[in-house]
Amino acid sequence: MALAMFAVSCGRPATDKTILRVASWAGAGEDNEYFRLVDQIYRDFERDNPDIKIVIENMPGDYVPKMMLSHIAEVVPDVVILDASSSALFKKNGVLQDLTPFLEKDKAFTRDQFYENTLLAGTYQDRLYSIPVDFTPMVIYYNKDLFDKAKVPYPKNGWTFQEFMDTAAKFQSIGKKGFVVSNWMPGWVMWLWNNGGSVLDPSGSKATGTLDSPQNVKTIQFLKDLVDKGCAPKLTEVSGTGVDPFANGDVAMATSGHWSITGYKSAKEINWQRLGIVSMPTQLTSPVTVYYESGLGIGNGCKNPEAAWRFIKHFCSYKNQLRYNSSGIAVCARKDVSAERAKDPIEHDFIELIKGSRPPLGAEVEGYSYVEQQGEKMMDSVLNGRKTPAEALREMARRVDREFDK
Amino acid sequence: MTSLRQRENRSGWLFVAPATIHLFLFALLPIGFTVYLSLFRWKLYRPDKTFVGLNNYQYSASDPAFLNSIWNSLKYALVAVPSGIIVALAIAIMLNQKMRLSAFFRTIYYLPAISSGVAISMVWIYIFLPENGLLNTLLGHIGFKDIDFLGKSETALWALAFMSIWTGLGPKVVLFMAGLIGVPQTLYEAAELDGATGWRAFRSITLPMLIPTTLFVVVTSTISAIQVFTPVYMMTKGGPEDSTEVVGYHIYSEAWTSFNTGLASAKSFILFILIAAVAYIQFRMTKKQLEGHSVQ
Repeated sequence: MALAMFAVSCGRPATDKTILRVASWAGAGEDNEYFRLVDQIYRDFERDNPDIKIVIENMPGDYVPKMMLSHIAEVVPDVVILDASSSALFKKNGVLQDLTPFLEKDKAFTRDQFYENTLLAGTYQDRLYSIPVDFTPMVIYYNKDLFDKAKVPYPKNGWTFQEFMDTAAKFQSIGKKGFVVSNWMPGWVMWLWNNGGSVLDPSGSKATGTLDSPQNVKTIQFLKDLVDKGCAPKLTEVSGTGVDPFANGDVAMATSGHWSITGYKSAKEINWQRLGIVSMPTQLTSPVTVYYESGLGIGNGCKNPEAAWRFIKHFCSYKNQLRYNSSGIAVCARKDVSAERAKDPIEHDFIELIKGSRPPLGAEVEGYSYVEQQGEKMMDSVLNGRKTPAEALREMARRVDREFDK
Repeated sequence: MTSLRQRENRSGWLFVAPATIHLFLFALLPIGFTVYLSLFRWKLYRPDKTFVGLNNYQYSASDPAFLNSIWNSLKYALVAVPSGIIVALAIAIMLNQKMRLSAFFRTIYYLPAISSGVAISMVWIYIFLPENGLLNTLLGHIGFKDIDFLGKSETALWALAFMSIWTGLGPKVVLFMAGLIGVPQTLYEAAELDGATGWRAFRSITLPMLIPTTLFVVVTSTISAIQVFTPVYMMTKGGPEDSTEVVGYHIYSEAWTSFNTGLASAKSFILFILIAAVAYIQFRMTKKQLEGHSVQ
């Protein structure tokens, strides 16, 4: 650990300029259109701010533990990327500086430029710790070509679980499956929400009595039924093949975020322009979904927070956000950029779903990644037929409570 | 005389100093610090540490996930160690024959030992793929179809153990070959005069003469099998369900996912004791065998 701390604090170039250390999820030498775009935004900042030099600190893989190590070594980068899924850990443990005073002073850069709920992932006790850079609500993608071929009407926002099941069952006639149940808890947690269930109690510290509720048992059974009734491929047919059955044109609907569009555009078996998106099916009066987001914050040890704030404003400006989001990776949290991008029908449909989206529980609960790990084990045991949903959820709740009691 | 002895002593100490300092800094000190940390309840990223005495050890002893991970590691070792040794011995005997391309095959069998564990794991993910994986394609010719080796809790741990036979081959083969070269040729000649050749000579001469080598290979293989981490981290993340959550991966998750540094330290020290105990038992058992066994 001491070696890691030492390594983190080494390797700074000698220069008269203010060094701004910017954390990055990319690996050193990673090169694709997205990273070239981001790099161009960095270079533009250096051109406009000749007194500042940006030094990228690559942290590919295990970003959260690496950031926590840099926190205890007091070498947190000046500009930190905040992933909504783990932001509680950063916000509650003093890793970041409060951005509220910067925002209050800055008349040209205001909260109301952003969708209000996208600021929640970076908010703790009414203070703002990150400015959203990109985000995406989780939605259902559907393949219009397969719907037309099977003569199934396109789904509409607000559809129910039963309507979803009926729709998913209609593709076997053309030799396809209706839906793919992928076992990744961030990709299925909103099914629980849409059936009135939750993962943790309101205090965020106890699972028993909430996670193993009758609603959640019904929801997990519903997802299992999709597989058992042949509406969705078995888990073993999906996992480990390295093939996305939706991108491969074998499945008519899939749950994912905006990031998938980049892959769908290059998929040979589907026409991405014939894709639609629709809300999650719901048993509530209006659908809800989870959103995933990355934002930029200022590290607690940053010696020149004004420079870091200038950088964040530069990255989150209208011009740069328009360029950044043209990569197709996500939806923009800025209303003006999204309004511009809404001319594209898919972007328009994504923006429609923003209002029903909530941050992931990892934005509120420290250690939520453990819950997600256990969620996947729970779902494995149900879909592989080793446990009933009730047994599996009870076991998961017991484990989560034990973990939170440690 | 005294001065000469003193000089020799000093030289001796200087020779062992680098290794001793290295051992102290990178082995003994971290072990001591681990034991110290194991007495505290401590979230890595929080400044406050609470002294809890032996509570972390008590908790670990009743932690079903930790006990399950130890059980998984033992199951893995019980399969990976004997099968790895049998295959390595067979290959060493084969390579020990005077055959063409023997040096080439020696190099080939050693390659996994010098390859990156991460890269090897990535290759084996593709070998194990259910539909178009190499193994399933081969098995398809004899009637087996699309086995999801890593995706099913019944097969995942055994798939990793199977993979370890290949990845751990190089050093074992080298050790066995060195052992085989050390068997005096005169023993085989004497046995031949008595009419003992082939299997009888192997059972009565080769195997007993290889006992010291086998002891070393068994102990080192068992230690590395119980410590297995890279393939689990890369290929299964402990799943499906908990079927491949081995103790090394469990401790990693405790430390770096849950950040329970005190508890992870206690579990690490328990693992240290476990490995030391297994190694001690193996030494005792094999030593007895060595003492009671002579070339017949």
